[in-house]
Parts: sequence; structure tokens; C-alpha cells
Amino acid sequence: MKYLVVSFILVVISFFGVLRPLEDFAAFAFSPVQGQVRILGLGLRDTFNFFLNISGIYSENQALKEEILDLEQKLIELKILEEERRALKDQFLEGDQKPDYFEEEALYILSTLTGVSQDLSGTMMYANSGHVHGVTKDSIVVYKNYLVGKVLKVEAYRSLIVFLYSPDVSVAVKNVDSLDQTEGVVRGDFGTSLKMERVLQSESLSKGDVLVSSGKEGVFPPGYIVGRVSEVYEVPAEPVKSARVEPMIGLEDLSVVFILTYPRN
Amino acid sequence: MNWDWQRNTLIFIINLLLVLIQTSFLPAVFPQILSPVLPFSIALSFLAVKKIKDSYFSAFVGGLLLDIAVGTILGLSSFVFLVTLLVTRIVQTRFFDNFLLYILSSLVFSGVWVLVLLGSLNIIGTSFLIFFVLNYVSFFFLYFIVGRRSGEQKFT
Repeated sequence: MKYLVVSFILVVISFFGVLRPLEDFAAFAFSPVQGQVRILGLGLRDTFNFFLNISGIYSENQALKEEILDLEQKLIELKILEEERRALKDQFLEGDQKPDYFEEEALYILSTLTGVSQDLSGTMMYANSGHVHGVTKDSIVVYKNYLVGKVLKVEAYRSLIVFLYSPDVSVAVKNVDSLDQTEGVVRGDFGTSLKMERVLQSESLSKGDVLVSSGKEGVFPPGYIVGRVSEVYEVPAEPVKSARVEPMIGLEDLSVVFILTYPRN
Repeated sequence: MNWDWQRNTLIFIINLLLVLIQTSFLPAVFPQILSPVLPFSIALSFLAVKKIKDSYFSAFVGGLLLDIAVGTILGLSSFVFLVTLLVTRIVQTRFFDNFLLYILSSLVFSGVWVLVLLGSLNIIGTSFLIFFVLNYVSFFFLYFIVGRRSGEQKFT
């Protein structure tokens, strides 16, 4: 009972602030200890949290890894889209207008080159468009106004493209830099370059001349750039001369191409 | 006299530790939960083992230390503790003395504490229930320790 009375008296006198200095001193002495105990408690809580959240941290880590994979996938898709967009722009716009080489009657099928086939010469590659997209055998493959090759084989969703480098591909060309429009045939030179053959000695052909398809072999449409003459081989005793031709774009570096089909045909 | 002094010192130290645990340790470990009032729990456990003098002294000292630690009006916690203990003691001697008494005591104390000391009228709710349960559990735990020391355990 005495404690009750004392505590009541304490409450009353403390209420009026009489014991304030005593309370302040006690709090001053108490606070550092409280601080240390609190730090101890926080440390214990952190330890608890760590052990409690181990499985959560693991699953969170796994989820983040999956998210990274998804994002990388999306990034790749975006890069592909960007590349396709750039290719479309290059192919169909010259400034704000359609380029001269644009063929109104042709169907341009945008295709991504997916990989090298079994061919070791590096002259063939698969593209991700097949006959469901309208691709037919012997369709022409171009990039801008450069001739890339032709379709050798068509499957449902992919096509095997053979580049101009292949010795199996021959293109009738003409020299647009000579006055007489020298004509000849360009054939692949075993995956390294192109070779122009059957040029009469009398016809003019010089290093640096640009060759375009003439369409006379009946496969490739006329007017597409095939390459530039890098070296002329002339033997005066022979009736014809030949030349080494370099494509003006790196065919092996292309990632997207356009397959031309002509719906009327 | 010497023995009393030693006991009272021990009770003071125990209360000091309990106040530190209640005001600094438990809020750091369980920040979302209202910490149980440990000085009251030990005072009630002294009462439960019939250490009446120890119980009142513990309530007085524990209340004062708690007031210093949390900055409330000095003596207020002691007063609330002692009033609750006196009422419990009256019921204990005149009516009944079993586990229900201490549950009721903890419940009434929790209500008064929340209402008077924390100034909250929201005494019906999950947080109050947790507070009451924690008070009773801490009482029971301390009762177990005090009972073993004094060799007197009337209920389990």
C-alpha cells in the first residue's frame, strides 16, 4: 500500500514538473544503454531476416535471371526489328521518294538470313521465308539495287539462297561504264569472288567499271548491280578476255535480304 | 535487512533488464508488434507465487524504470501496476486463485495500459489481442522461472 501512495505522490509532483531534473538525469544515464540494446536487437533482427529470407532471396535471384534472359531476348528481337526497319527504309526510300530500281510489279519479301547450310564453300545460306510467304524456286534475291543471288530450294518456312559467289550461278551482265555497253557473263569463283568471262577482245573493259545485270540469261532481271571490275585478264593471242569482279556490298555480311517474286508469273 | 536489500537489488536489476528488453530490444526485433509490459508480468508472477512484498516492490521499481525509459509521467506506470496487482490480490484472497485470475488480470491490465498509457481507444482489435496474449505469455514464462526459484507453482 505504501508503494501505491508513493507512486501516486510521484505522479502528482511529476505532473507539475518538480521531478524534471531527476527524470532528465535518469534518462541521460539510461539512453546509452538503451541505444546499445537496440543495436543488439537490430542485429538480431537482421540475422533473423537473413535466414528467413534465404529461400526468398534464391527464388528472387532465379526470377531476376529469367527476367534478364527475357530482356536479352527482347533486346535481340528489337535489334532484328531495327535491322529490318533499316533494310526496308534502304530498300524502298531514297529520301522521301521511291528509288529508281523499285519494281512496282514485284513482290518484295523481307527475309532474315538464318544460317549457313551444309555447303562448305560458304556460297549458300538459309533465309526465313518459304513458299507460305510466296517464295518460289529461282526467285531473285536482292539488297537495295544490288544482286545477292537466287533461291535454290524452297521449303515451307525457309529457302536456300545461293549467292553470286557460287560457281553454279551465272549472270549476264553489261558494263555501264563503257560506251559500247560491253556484255559478258559473271560467274562465281568458288566462294571468293566473281569472274567475268566471254568478253571479246575488241570490247572495252577496265578496272573500276561497274557491271549490272542485263537480263539476257532469262533468270535475273536487268539493272541490278553485280559488282565492280577489280582486275582484267587479257591474253592478246586469245579471242576473249576475262576479269575479276568484286561485289560492291559484302554479301557474307548481310543479315536481311529481299526476295523478289512476280505474282503475275 | 541485509537479505531484503539483496533481494530488492536483484529485483531492481531484473526489472532494469526487462525494461531494456521491452523498450529497446523487442521493438527493434519486432517493430510491428506492441511489446509486452514485462515489469508488470514479473510483478504478477511474484504475486502468483505469493511473494507479495516482492510483487509490490517489483511493480513499483519496474514502473519507475519504465517511466524513465519511455518518458511518461514518473510514477504513472507504477501506479497502474500496483492498482492492478491490488485488485488481483483481493480477488486472489477472497474469491479464487487459478489460471483464470491471471488471464483476467492480464486482460484488464492490457486494456488499462492501452487506454491510459498509450492513449488509444482502439482496444478491441487484433493488435490489442496480440498485446494481451504477449502479456499473458510473458507472465506465464516469468512465472515459470520465478516459481522454480521459489519452489512454489500452484497452477500450470
